[in-house]
Amino acid sequence: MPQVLKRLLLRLRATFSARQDRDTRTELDLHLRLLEEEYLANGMAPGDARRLARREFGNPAVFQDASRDLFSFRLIEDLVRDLLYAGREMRRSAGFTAIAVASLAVGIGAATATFAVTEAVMMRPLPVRNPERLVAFTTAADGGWATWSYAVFARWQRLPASAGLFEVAAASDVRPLRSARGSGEAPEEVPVSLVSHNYFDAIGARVVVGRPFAGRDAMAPGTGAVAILSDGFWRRRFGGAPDVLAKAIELGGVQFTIIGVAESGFTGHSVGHPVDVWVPLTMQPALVPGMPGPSSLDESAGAEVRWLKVVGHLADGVSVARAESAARVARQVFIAEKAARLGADKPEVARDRTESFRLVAGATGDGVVREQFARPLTLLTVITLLVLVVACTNFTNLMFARAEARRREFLIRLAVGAGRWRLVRQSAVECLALAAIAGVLALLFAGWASSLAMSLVSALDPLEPLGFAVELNTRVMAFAGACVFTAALFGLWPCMRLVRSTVISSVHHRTAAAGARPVANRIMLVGQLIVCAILMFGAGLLLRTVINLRTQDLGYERDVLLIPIEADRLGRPPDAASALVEDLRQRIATIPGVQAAGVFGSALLDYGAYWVDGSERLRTDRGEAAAGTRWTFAFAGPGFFDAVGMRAVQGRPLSGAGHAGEVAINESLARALFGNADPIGRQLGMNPKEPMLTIVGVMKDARQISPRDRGIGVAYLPIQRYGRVTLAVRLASPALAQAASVRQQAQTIVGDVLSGPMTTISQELERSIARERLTSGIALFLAVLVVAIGCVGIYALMAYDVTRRQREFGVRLALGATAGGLVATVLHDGAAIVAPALAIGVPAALVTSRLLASQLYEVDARDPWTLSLVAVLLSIVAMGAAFRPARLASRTDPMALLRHE
Amino acid sequence: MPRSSARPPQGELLQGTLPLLILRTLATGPNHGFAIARRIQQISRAVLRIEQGSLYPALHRMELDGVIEAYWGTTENNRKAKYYRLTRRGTRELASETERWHSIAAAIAAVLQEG
Repeated sequence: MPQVLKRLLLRLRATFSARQDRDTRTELDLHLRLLEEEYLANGMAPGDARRLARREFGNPAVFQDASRDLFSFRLIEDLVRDLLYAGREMRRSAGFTAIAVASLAVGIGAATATFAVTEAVMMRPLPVRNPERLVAFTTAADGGWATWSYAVFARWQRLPASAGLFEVAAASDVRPLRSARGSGEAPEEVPVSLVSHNYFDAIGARVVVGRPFAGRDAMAPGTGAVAILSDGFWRRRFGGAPDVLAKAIELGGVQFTIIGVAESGFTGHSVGHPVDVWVPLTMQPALVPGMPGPSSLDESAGAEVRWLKVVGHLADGVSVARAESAARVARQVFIAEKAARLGADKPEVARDRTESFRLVAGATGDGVVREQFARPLTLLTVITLLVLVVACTNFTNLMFARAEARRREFLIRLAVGAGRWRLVRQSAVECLALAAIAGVLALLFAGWASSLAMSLVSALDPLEPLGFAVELNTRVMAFAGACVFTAALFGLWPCMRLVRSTVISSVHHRTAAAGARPVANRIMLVGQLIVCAILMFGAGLLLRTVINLRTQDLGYERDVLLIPIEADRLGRPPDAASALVEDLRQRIATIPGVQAAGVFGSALLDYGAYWVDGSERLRTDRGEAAAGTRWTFAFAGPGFFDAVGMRAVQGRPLSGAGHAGEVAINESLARALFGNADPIGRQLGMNPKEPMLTIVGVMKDARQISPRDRGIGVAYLPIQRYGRVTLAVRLASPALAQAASVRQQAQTIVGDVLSGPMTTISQELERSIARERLTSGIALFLAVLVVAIGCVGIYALMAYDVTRRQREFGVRLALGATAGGLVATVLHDGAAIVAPALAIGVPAALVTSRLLASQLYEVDARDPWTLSLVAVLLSIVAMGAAFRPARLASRTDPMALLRHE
Repeated sequence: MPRSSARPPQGELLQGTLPLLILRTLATGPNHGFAIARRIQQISRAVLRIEQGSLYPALHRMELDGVIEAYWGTTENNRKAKYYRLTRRGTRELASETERWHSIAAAIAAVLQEG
């Protein structure tokens, strides 16, 4: 063993055990005794022998110390001692410790949570082997990966040199398919992706149970009903049972045999859209029939149906440029063939030629959803960093107050001979210890907060549920560590200032001349309060937005149960379907508590529903056009308007029995098309191929697509095809709408045509404003946090001030000042902080609230009421924090003070 | 420290020579601290007197440097004592240090003779 190592081990052992020390002691003792005995043997008296021996030997304590120094790691010993000291100090001033740690934990936690979310959404590479060798075939510069047709994918797969260049695989977009679960359970929507058979290999994900797809699984279109599950889905649906292989799962009406389970953590390459089941490409005709155009699995260079994302795994040593040029050449050959077949003048061909084709790095996956989150995340990052700074400056303030309180102790220690560096090091250990504890708490908080935020995010859009796996991985921990370190530095600064001060006389003079009014602290506090004002204002505006959205008049009732059904399931013919629906409607209307039941065929308060923009399609019998009107249409069946409580302001609602030539429009559309003229009886056309419809009624405006769309025109048409429709059931009271009994009876009546969970309009409204609720919730939470921290800061500063000026107060009291006067002095001091904070904070809030303008609803970004409320609230809370120290000042006992002198 | 007139002139130990003396003493065989001190006194004919306790920090430093190694043993009177012995490295060190010392001494002598 090399000597350095031996030495290290010896020293380590000596640091942590007392054996070395004892050994040295034994050695020294023996030597002394032997000396003594020698003198005794020479005939000396015992007392003299001992003295002489001692003289000849020297002072054993000195040698013991010298040896100990040699062996131990002085630094480690000191650090351990410092830590123990810090622990004792923390226990002694438990209140201070608690506040310091809590406010730091909050600040660090918020920043870490935001970072964790940002990391999961924007930065993390796919959990696959060698993500850096993945490339995506795309055209767009940013945003998601482009889609391609099967034909061109096949070309890339068969590139003569591709065997050496890259392995290329294809996958469809994630689409939810209905999967039956067995008797008694409602079917669930499962996100599915269709992939080429080499997908898992190319992307670098393992299949841990069973096997990946093989070429033989899927030869011809329509074959290959096998499936690979994601780990999460396997656990959820099959309980993680190992005998899942060879079991079957129904997707979109087709039975698939399960042949494998993917490794844990892999949910496809599409960021934010996790996949639960992968099936071969060849199953496309069976799963999504009726896709327009020729079969999507056609390899000939004809009209293209673009539906596949293409990803490639570069072989070792192959550069992106080389792969790109090879792929580009293949594509150009393909385009040439296509032009030859279709005709070079087709717009499609022209578009192909002008498209820019490139290979981009695919390590972070397909992230079109990132665009959605980039802006909110940036905003959130800025805000939480501000919160972190506030927390850190607060920590500085607190440590400053504490350092001043220990000024005497420090100076005595300096006088007795402690080195300055020693004191600084001890303070540093203390700050780091506090910050580290705060860091641990912060991680816990961050974990909870980020998973809460993610669950709220995934509820934003049930049609396309978003899922991000936020985790506290190494990067996140490193970030938290950096925050902890920064916070410790913030806390160390006042200690260093104290140690550097050379006013030794302060030991005697309690009116610390060195304790000059800490201007830096006041400036920091003012800054904190400005941030408070900005955040409070923003939160207030967002809160009002949510309240406005929630309490507005939707145009229909809220206590309406919505029951989605699939009337033409199992190939039921249209007549039978409509008869079935009518039958169900009548039977449901007989359930006790039900006031009315109706049918409608479109979405209500649902993004992703039909949306028609622009008004070129709309025409009336007399040729009025409605330039620039945004409008949509909805399908209303029998009893719909009555059930949801929509009323006609003119004419009558659509009648139940499908009078095919009728249409009802809402007020906005009527105004846009006809102005003040009477629209009843007029004709409206939406589709040039079909005859015009007669307007029979004008309905009161109601929110069709989103709770924010005021003034959108809506045309109500009778239901034409009874496929997927919804039963709307109006109930007598909100309680009934939630009652399980009503739902159970409805379920019994509806039976197995139920195609999804039952909800109410209230629930749908809540879901549709989920994004706003999330944003306002976070803003409110952060605002409260920052205000709390600011108040703690004010309290600490005022308390310190009072302590510092105790002597002055005592003298003033003795000279005849009133207690009230002292209180006024302290409050005046507090106001000196709050006033400038408001003076700067209010305009700052007005300026920054413009960033929010696009999120608000029926409240102005410069709303004076909210602003005044915020200013008043902030003043009350801030002054309230100064109140207790003020009262403490009034209780100063001059006699006790003078006695202490 | 009172000096008895019977003692020969006190020789102050030059810095850094203690390890060399220890190495030389141990070259004849392993020994414990007391014995080493006695031998140094003996051989130098009491010219070199050290504050005996200062032997120990030197011994410990040499142990850390790896030129000697320690083990527990018993004295003739059956007392537990820590014995030290030369390592191979120590032997080499002794040879090179002795060489160095001789050359320094020769150089100084030459300078002094030069006058």
